[in-house]
Amino acid sequence: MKKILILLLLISPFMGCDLDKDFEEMNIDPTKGASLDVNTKMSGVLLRGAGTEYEMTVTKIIYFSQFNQYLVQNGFPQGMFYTFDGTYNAGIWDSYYSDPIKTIQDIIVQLEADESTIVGSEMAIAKIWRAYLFHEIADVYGQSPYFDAGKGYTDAILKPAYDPLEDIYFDMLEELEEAGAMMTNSSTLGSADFIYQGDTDKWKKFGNSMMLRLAMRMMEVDEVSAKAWAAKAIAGGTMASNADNAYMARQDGPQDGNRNAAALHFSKYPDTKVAATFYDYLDDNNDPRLAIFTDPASPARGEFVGYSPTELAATFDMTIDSFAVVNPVFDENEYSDSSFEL
Amino acid sequence: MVGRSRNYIDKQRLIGSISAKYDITDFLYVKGQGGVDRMNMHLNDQAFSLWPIGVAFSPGGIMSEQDVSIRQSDLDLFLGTDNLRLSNNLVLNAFIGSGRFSYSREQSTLRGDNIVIPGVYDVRNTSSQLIDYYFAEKAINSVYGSAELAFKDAIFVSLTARNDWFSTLSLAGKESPNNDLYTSASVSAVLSDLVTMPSIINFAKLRGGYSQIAGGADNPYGLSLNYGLTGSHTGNDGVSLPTGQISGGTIPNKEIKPFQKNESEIGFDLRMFQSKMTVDFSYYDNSTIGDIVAVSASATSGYTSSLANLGEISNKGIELLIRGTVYEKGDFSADLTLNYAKNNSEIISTNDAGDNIFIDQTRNMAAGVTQVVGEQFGTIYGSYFQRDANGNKIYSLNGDGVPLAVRSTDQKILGNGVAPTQLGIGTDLRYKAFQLSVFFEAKFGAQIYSNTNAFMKLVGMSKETIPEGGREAGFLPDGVMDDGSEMVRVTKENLDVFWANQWDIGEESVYDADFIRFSQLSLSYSIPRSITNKLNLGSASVSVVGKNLALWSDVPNVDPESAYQARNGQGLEYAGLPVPRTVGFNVSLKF
Repeated sequence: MKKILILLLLISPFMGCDLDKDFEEMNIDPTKGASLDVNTKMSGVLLRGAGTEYEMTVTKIIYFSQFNQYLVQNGFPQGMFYTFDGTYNAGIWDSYYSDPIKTIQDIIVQLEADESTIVGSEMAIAKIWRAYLFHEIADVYGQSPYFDAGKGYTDAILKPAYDPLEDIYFDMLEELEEAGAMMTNSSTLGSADFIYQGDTDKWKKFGNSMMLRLAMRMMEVDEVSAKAWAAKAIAGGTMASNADNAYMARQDGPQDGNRNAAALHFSKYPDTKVAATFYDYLDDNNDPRLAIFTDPASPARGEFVGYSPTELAATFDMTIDSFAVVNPVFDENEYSDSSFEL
Repeated sequence: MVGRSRNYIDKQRLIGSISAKYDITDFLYVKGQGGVDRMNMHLNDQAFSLWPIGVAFSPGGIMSEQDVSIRQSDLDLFLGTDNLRLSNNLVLNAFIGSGRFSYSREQSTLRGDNIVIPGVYDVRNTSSQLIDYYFAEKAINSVYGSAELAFKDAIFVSLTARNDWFSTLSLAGKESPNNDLYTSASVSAVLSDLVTMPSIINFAKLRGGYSQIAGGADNPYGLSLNYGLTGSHTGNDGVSLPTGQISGGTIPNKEIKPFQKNESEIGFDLRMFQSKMTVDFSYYDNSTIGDIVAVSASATSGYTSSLANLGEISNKGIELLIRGTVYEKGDFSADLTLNYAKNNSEIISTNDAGDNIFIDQTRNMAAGVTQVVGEQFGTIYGSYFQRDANGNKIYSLNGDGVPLAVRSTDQKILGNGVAPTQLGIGTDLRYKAFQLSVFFEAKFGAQIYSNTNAFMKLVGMSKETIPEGGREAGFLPDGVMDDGSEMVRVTKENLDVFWANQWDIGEESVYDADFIRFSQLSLSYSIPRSITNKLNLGSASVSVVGKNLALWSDVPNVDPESAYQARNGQGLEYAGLPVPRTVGFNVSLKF
């Protein structure tokens, strides 16, 4: 009997009491944070919202640049043949909604939770950047989720409703106006604001310039409102020189996310060629930019030509190197890319 | 160039177990047991390429070094009694105990892009480097007990109870439980030992029971939102700062609780003709309540899925296994094996609102696996052809005058991805030293959405896109025009437009997935003892084994058992690797 008692004493720590003592701590990811300051979130949102390799490659280059016949590419000819590809079509959609849009919504919720930040420069900058992200989504896809978007966690909305383009445009304009009104002379973002280093004056100009651009795009459908918003934007002060441009400085690494997304594409896919349409247009009009957009050195100037999709079949007999390539200056990964400029 | 890509894994694994038992009294013992499985892996990957078009995704070359360490352990301590005779006819086996299961995985990666000096394999020899670190750990603590009473060695009653605590369901401030108590009770009786049986029956056993099982979430850290750093960046002012983001694409759910599985089962085991024929039968009725599932979410929510305890799923069915020696004479014998399983599943409930729950979707978004209340588990749900009252497909002319099928604006049930009926038949024929075994298996009642076939039709690589009389002739689609006019012919130039239009109509590529597979044939020969004895061998045999030899199915081009992903997406398929037919030659020597 004594032995049993000793044994029960031995087992007792295992039985009944506090069997999940260390579990709450164990189930917290030691490599992540349960919260993050606005500045660190904002730097990530600005960097990735300014463009990542994914949507740059699949949508902006393979689709748009080929649709417009600026570029052609043998390896990925979807855009130059105008064939539908769901994945390429959704590049901006997939990229923006899954990261910058959801994080900017999260930042706004975080700013709203604090009396001292519910109104102010940080909220104003967040609203301007949110409008910029949705401005791209709305212009590329038209009717799309706006009011409910990116709120899977904050509001438990798993299937956001699509909003009419009209509602999106008017709300973006109002948001920009509100942002301009709450902007103060300084911001605590400082260097975390990779675009303007917390220069609230420039952010204000960026917001007003975007307001003007949105208004201009409404001209054909609602001239009265368009004019009113344009006047409001101009009165508020828009970008006045290149120094006001919104652009993201890029570096050569260490990660692809630091690099210029378009340059990554050009350096990875040397079969990206300048399209004959674009090339010939510049050439016929003696446009001096020809030597900037295309490689002025190789092949020798005067001998090279733009590439046309109809030549695809023939390339087996021709050397693809005889077609104009993008100027290698654009291959440099540290080259800044612009989000919004004059 | 492929020859210059290298990757190797250096794996070290240590598996250990220890067990100690001490008899405290003549009827009571204490036992401790522990098992440890520790694995360290070093992965080294180098893809080196030549300018200009080498490894297409990275012309400058990449190399990576990865260290992975996985640790898993089980520790148990119990107090019990074995064969404790309570009376002449009553024997007790029982124990109580507690245990802990724990698992952790730690992984660090060094990656370098753009190799500088060709041939030097050191990550520092790259123009840019990236470091990554991953860690995850989880544990389950348990307290359990079991008692089994044997009456006259013929009637057995067994009772168990167990409480598990799950670390993956624990979080400070959480209101729903992180643990669950589950029990089971079963009775079995060897009838042939209790009553006199007809002479042909030499063994008969009846069994019945009810059991519960609970389980936690597979992955840790799914209960709260986490923020991670993705690296750092330098702004226009030259200051480098870290960049953050919300980690993970699954919406966390703080109130996830253990899922439960309850099962009732009755069955019997019958052996006849001196066990030359056996029949094993069981009927089960089980339900899974609150399964922990990552439910699909629209990408526009910012996430791809949301963690949830999902409704209730019921499964009822029977399993039958019959084995028998059907013929035996002299050196020849023939055995037959038959197994049959039939399962009826039903979604009893989903979430509070009774919504359809998307589990998985195909790449072209034409169909998905969805849980629909009142329907079977694994319903294929998707867009379909718009039809008139007589069931004819409706076509509409596009701007170029090509008749195109009209796609539904909504989605409906197109099939069921999980086969309710399974059948297996096998035979063993023996003659002297030769043995021939054959096995067929079949599944009935399921459908499959084949994204592979949808894609092949889109790009004109499928036989189905060749009209009778060849492509040159074009063809007249089977259906009616939307405006009641005469059906218009699809000319050869427009075949691509016609098929491209149907690419994302789910119904177009749903097939009946019934199949019969000649899954195995083996012929073996046992070398006579007279020879093996001379060679000092215990026994020796040679055999030829063929697997997956033939398949009868109506699904074109792909294996009807292909799956998009292993877990819940059964019934969806896209570009899966086919199961190969294999023929092998075996030599077996025993010393």
